[in-house]
Amino acid sequence: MTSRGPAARVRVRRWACAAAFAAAAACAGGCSTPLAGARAHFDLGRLDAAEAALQPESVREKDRVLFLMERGAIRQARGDYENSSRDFIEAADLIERLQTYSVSKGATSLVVNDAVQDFRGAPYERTLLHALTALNHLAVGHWENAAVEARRIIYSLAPEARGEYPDCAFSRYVAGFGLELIGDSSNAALQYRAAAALRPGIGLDERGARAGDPELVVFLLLGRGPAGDATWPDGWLGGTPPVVEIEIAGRVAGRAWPLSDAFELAAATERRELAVKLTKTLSRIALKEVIATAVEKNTENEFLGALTRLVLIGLLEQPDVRRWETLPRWFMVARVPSPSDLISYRVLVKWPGGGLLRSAEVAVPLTRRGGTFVSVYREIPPGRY
Amino acid sequence: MSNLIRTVIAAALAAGAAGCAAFRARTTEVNVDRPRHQTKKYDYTDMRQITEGVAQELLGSAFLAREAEPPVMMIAGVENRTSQYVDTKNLTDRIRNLTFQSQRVRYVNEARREQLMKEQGYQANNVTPEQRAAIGRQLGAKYMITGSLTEMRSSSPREVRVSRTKINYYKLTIEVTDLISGEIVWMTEKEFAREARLPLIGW
Repeated sequence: MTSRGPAARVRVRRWACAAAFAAAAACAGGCSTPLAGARAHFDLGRLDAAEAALQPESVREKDRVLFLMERGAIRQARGDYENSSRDFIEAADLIERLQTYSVSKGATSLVVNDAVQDFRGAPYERTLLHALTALNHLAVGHWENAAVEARRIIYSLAPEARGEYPDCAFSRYVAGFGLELIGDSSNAALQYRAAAALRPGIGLDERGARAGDPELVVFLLLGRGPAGDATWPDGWLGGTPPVVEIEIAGRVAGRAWPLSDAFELAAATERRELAVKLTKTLSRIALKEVIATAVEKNTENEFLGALTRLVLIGLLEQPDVRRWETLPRWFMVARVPSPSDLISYRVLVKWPGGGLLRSAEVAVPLTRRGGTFVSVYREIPPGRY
Repeated sequence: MSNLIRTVIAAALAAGAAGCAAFRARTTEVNVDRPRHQTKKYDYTDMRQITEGVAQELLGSAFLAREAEPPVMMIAGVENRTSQYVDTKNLTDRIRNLTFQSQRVRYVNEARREQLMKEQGYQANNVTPEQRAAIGRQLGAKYMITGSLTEMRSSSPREVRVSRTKINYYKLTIEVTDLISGEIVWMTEKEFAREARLPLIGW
């Protein structure tokens, strides 16, 4: 190898120092984010503070989708369904525009880390985005808009869109219900059957509405989904959901079907992406090592080489832990007989063994379409479970 | 060196002259009569084209020709059965406007019935008898217009490629129902499909 002149070495040194400075600044800037603050408030049930912590101008463009997902979920938990829908719909539109792979950001991610790329959400998050939007529409009685989201769910779960990623029974049920309410019962039945096939053994009723009998359909969103840095041991088979019963006028009207678990969906997604992520990370580390070695040789300065290595591998080599963290963990549906003059109901959350964990009286949202009452219940627990 | 500086200045000037406009905020009028599609999705050009087609066919229909007087109609709405948030009132408003202008049909204002009743109630209590709107004298529609906008989508299968082709097909069905007999006396369909190729790789 020919040795470079002093001017070239100075240039390389300057570049290396600039890179070190930029990396240190990026690291310092990224340590505390508005998202983290909002999630902390959300965990404690301080929903107003959680929403206030999320100011659009403080969020980086690459995290815009995540920001909208989180704010939409917080607004949904607050009962602000219209604005929650706006956030979710904007997130879905952005995700569609981000389908084109950015070569510049992809190349940057090869020498920095995956977090420099635009966040699009995992496939299960993108599907649940539509399901939660549909629930917002149901909560305010916008049946036709709920059906729009039902179709979007179906498209997102189609084999050509989903590939090998996990299917989602809850989203299937929401899609079926959205179609059932606008009278598309044959397509609704297809979705109910798909949901039942994904969750055998829980007694899911595939039939939909019972003609003439008033009923209450409650979509229950419980707990907190996995944090971005959550990991799952080998052979992890999922958790046991709480038992949820619906009580009307002092009598238990029925039990909810546990349809989806965000932990299970995230774990299945991680398993699916593990090999690709590992290969990419190893390639990136190898490339960074090549860069650090080149700096060391060109400058004939071991310290600069070590500094470059520290910056590129020690500081910048971070896993991409971005995840929609305000998602619920448990997604359930209860479909129970109801009086025709229903004004409220009670949710009883019990340990799998039967002991009462929590209970809540719910009067809003409670919308009605024909003989079907529709409600959404979002519980913010004091911690993850 | 001076050549290099001259070249750089010339390139900067050329880039400035050619590219400055791209960095300026700009607002221009758009001719809505000129077809314009930016994506494969249903847009205002589609709305205008299909409503014009429906209105022309409706005005030239045999059932309307048989009517001695312009019949009174009401529009019950068009169902959105697509995966897009489509304001179907745009469709019905335009069909109503185009047919109304022909003076071959009349419409009752079904969307404003509540306000109408409220105003009549107000007049009954507060307006002089000569100027008061009489109650119970509203026209009854003879025909009801309904319809649905449906969609089918397809995209190229998963394979190694640099772009993805997507096709969206839309169909608007409009039907006119006789409110006495319940018979559908006229119907039409307007359909269109659009293909878009999206790059999977971009800068």
